[in-house]
Amino acid sequence: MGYDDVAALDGVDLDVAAGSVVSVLGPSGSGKSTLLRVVAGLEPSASGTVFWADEDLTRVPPHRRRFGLMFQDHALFPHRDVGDNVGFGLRMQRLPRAEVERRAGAALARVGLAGFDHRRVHELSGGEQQRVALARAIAPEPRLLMLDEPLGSLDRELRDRLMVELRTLFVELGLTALFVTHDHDEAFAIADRVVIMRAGSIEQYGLPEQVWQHPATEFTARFLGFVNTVTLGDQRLLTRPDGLHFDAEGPIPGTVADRTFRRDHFLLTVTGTDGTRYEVAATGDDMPAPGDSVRLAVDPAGAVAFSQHDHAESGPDLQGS
Amino acid sequence: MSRARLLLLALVPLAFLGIFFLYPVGTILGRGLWSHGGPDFGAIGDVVGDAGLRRVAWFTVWQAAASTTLTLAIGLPGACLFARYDFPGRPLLHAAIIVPFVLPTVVVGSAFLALLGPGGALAFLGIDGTVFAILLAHVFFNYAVVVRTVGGLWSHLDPRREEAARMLGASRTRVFLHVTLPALRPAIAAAAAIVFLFTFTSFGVILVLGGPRFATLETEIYRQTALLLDLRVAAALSIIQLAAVVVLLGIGSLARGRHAVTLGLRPAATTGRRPHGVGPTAFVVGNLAVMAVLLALPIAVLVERSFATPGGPSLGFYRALGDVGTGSTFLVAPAEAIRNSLSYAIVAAAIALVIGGIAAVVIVSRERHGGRFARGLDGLLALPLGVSAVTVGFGFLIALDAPPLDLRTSWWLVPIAHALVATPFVIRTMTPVLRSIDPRLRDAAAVLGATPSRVWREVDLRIGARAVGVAAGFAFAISLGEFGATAFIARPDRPTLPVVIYRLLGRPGTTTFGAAMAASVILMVLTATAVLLIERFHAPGTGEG
Repeated sequence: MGYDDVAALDGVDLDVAAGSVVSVLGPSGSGKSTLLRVVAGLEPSASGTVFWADEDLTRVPPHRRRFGLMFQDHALFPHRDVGDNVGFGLRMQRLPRAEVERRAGAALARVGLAGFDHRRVHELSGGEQQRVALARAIAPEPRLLMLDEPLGSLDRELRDRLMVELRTLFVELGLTALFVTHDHDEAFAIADRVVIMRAGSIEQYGLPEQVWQHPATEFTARFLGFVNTVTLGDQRLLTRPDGLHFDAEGPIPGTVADRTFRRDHFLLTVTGTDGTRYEVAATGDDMPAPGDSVRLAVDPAGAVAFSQHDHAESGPDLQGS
Repeated sequence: MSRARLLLLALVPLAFLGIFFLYPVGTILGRGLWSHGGPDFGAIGDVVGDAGLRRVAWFTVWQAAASTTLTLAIGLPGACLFARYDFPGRPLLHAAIIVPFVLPTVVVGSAFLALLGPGGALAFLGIDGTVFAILLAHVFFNYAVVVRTVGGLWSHLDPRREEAARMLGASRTRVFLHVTLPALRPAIAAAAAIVFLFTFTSFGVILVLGGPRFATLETEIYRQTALLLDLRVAAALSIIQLAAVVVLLGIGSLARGRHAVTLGLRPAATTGRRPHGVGPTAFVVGNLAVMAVLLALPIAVLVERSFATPGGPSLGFYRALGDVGTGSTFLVAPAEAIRNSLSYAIVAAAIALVIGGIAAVVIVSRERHGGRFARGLDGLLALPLGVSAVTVGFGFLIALDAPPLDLRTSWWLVPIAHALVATPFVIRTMTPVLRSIDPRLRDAAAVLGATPSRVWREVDLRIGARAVGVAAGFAFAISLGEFGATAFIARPDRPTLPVVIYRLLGRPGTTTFGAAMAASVILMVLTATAVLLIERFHAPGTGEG
């Protein structure tokens, strides 16, 4: 499917296991939000199918799919108070009023906002509004919960806290969840499976530690922080800053250009004799200073090898250098 | 600008208002409520006691309510169309729907006469001469008000709220009822208030389409003055009319002022989409069809009839306008009226620009210093907008008849009346632009060495110039089409085009009817040109008007 002439999603094929949390990570424009909207049924012009177990939901309108969707900017109803917002989905199910109020109150308690029922939306802080949006999405007990950048508009500290709470909530409720983010920490910390998207297609899908340590394509590697390219003989290796270390016998000569403090480590920029730049993470008292001549070695566990055609081979072979 | 200078400047519009509005209105009140040196409610009593006049008052209210409801019912889908959907030709259509709103009332009356009367395209409906003709004409006029006012807000609403509601299990209908409609309430209330006010004070349409059978307060004032020469009753009716309008305005602003909810608006460009699926496409097509029949057809019929001479399509009717014979109720040929209208319009626009421009400058300048005075001035100068043009015309007639203000025979009477009606529009157009001038621009100019008057010239004037163009176009169009006040004060040897059209419609005969169509087309073209030029002047992206 596409907007105008640009395909927003192109040949996406995704299976989500019941009760699992899947995060969708990718740069902006990669189609992640579009994927959620297609699953939700909000993009009528999409081609393809959406199945829930054996049920074909492709033609089912959004309000009958029983999926929950939490928007990035929460999209709360301004003319209703918190309790009305949270109870909206329950009212749509035509439940009796007492039941609606009880379950809305329970949902609010789950997100840590017990007693907020009669507060007005515009009185709340950003974090509180986010939680109300979450409560509203989970109150009707959807069979799939989707979240679009749920922690996007919050500050660092709040985000870290809510990340943990989200994961706990998902596990407690046994929810199947699909959430979209551009933040690496979120994607890998909360999920059972990670999906990397790029330009409308899925680049890779797997366990978080698998994807993190063994990116399948060069794009994914670079996206996940493999910033260094090392050419040894006929091999091309990509590493993170902690995949290179200083070794007097190492195969890569160079000069230290710069050193910056990164709280739990120092980041040194090394310029190789052929002009290549490397970023090396180092700790310890005997680390080189700017201007020093050094030699670098590759840590095999922290490197991924790529052929000319952009796909990873089984692992780096360092014997031949 | 210094406070003293501002207050001095403020005297100009205040004097204008005082002499040409407050004094005539005061005279009306005097005529109706005062006699032999003491308060006398006899005239009012006579009016209230008369069953026929009571029916007139009731009909005025009834038809205004019915017109408002009908306009909302037809206009809300149109607002939705423009707010939510994209289709070929959308910007052009959005600009074009405002043309009916600014058309002169007699032109609209003529068009609907042609459409619904014998030989017309919709004559089979059989509603010619019934109240439905009046209601339809009112919808024709005010469709744009609903579409622009409500559609304007609608296009800025965040579609994600509606999507959130859908995800929570609400069908499209329930989303509309529970989420969209509550958010739109302020705009709907505002549109309803405007439409009610306009249809309550509707004059030209009722006169032309209502004939002898239907009368509102406005047309009754005219009838009492022009035909029955009973100024006392006319004055009493005017007072009742005034009181009703003031009450309506009050209710309107109360209803609008309630909701201060932050709606989280988004820029309009992000919310228009091509329709997908049978339902949405049918909706788009349906609305376009309604607009075609409601808005385009009457105009098309008008044009067609103007060429439909007995011997086949020709310019016969247009030529007849130059012939004194057709205008034998006048002393001059109807074609003269075109010249009169144009010269009146130019002068009226100039006066309105000066008065309105000064007022706008004063209002905006005082607002910056905490303007209770500014708000008062703004409200005061908006009064002629709320009070009907008929009241203005009638007031001129009975007030400006003695020295030093004996203007009954003066050429200037008509342009002044037009200017009075147009000034509130000029102010409404210019104040937002002047308000939006960033004071830091002035600071920057001052720091760079510009004297205060130089700053004013370089910054305010330059930015305000565009608004002047729009305001001028507005005032010109209003003057061209003005009928309510002019009907009272235009002299027989110097009629305006709307007056001529009305007279021609009132006389039986194919030639006079055809001539009326031709004159209407000419008036329509003149007005529409002025208005479409306004739209060109309007800076792109300044919103929904």
